[in-house]
Amino acid sequence: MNEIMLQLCQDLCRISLEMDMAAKKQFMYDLLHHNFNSESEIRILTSRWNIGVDSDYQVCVIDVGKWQKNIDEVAEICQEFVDRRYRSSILSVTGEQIIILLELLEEGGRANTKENMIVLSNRIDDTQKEFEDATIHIGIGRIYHGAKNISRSFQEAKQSILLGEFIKRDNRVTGYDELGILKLLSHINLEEQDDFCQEVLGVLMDYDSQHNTDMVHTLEMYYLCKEDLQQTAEQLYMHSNTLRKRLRKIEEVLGGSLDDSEIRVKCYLACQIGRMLKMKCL
Amino acid sequence: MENIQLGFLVNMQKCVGCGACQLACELKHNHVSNRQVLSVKSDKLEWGFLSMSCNHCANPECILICPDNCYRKLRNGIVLHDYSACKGCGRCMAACPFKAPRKKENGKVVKCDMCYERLQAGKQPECVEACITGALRIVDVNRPLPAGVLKTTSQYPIVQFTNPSIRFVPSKMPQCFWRK
Repeated sequence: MNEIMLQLCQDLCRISLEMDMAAKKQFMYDLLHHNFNSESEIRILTSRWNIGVDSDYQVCVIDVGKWQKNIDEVAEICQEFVDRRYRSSILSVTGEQIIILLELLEEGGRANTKENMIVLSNRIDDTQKEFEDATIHIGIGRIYHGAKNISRSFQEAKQSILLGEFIKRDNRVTGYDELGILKLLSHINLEEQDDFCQEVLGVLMDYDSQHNTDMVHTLEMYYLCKEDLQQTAEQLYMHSNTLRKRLRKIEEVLGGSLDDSEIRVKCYLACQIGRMLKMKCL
Repeated sequence: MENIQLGFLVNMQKCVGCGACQLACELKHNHVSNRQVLSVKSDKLEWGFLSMSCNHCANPECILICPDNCYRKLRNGIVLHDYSACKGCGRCMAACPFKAPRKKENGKVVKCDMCYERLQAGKQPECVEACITGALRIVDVNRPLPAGVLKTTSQYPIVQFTNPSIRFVPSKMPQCFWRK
């Protein structure tokens, strides 16, 4: 009799735990998608789940990509990590993504989110070594005040993942603040972007195909390295004098100096668009 | 909790451009149609028609941009707009890559709600029900879809960064049955 009672209690506990988990997942969805009828509903639900309605929040989204099979294992690592570093957080798993909602209680936590996420991505890499070619991408939304604005931070984090890889090759952790001009470019049709790219860099592309050179790539790398000659030369495996000579040739082909602010902005934008089109992500 | 994302499936091979979906929407929403039938053309031939409305994106820009938190995303993926809270600032209209939110005469914004109250009652949205050729359907884009269904079509390439929940069956080259 006692054994039956014990079994019954265990089953009840398990069911209650499962129901609690399911309810928590639904609450997280609603919070992240602003799925509420009124502000009072937000207040009631947040208090039920012990979330401060007037705190500051930040959302991080981890796209696990090829590690989807191991997503629960990765989620456990994330949970352990955020529990140690943040006093209040909620973690949720949906599809290929792990979503971390951070309640920022102290000033220090605000500045460190990016560094923390870099540490977390390295830790995940270390534990998941069997997937050598797989990478995770982490997007970080901005900090918002109040539970009603969590959905904004979530959307920003998701956009950061999508657009982050255009900022820098092998970019794995991207904050929404870093996206800059990409935020605007992502709204423009591909055709218009392609036309602009051809208009600005068309002559250089023609020169490349006629002379079998790689001037467009040189210019792209020059902007990727923030116009640092030494770093660009290192990235392109060439001497800095060769790079200078190439940049002079680029100026000659484009018909203007790269120091001219108008030409600089045009070329920078065209290079960004060119990279986005090449990656065919938009 | 299942990961559901409802969206429209537009079969461009079936759409004849009659505009019944647009009219049905207009009738339901007090002379404001949230749907538009576009003709997709090539240089010489008219290739087909495309019925477009809000695409209920997975990453909706409107939720991010609205200063009054008028937008919400339901658990089935439908993006809803709270008309009563809208102040008509128009930021969502500018931000949406598909120009789905539209301004009414009183300055407030309206947009497609996929007739969610009809869906709750087990019915199809007005536009889907009005489509005589069956070119418009509601599907869960997170589920596997039949072969030939695409995320975008070369005849009408769309911005993908918001991850729009629309799927296409692209139109075919029209056949000529008479002598050239």
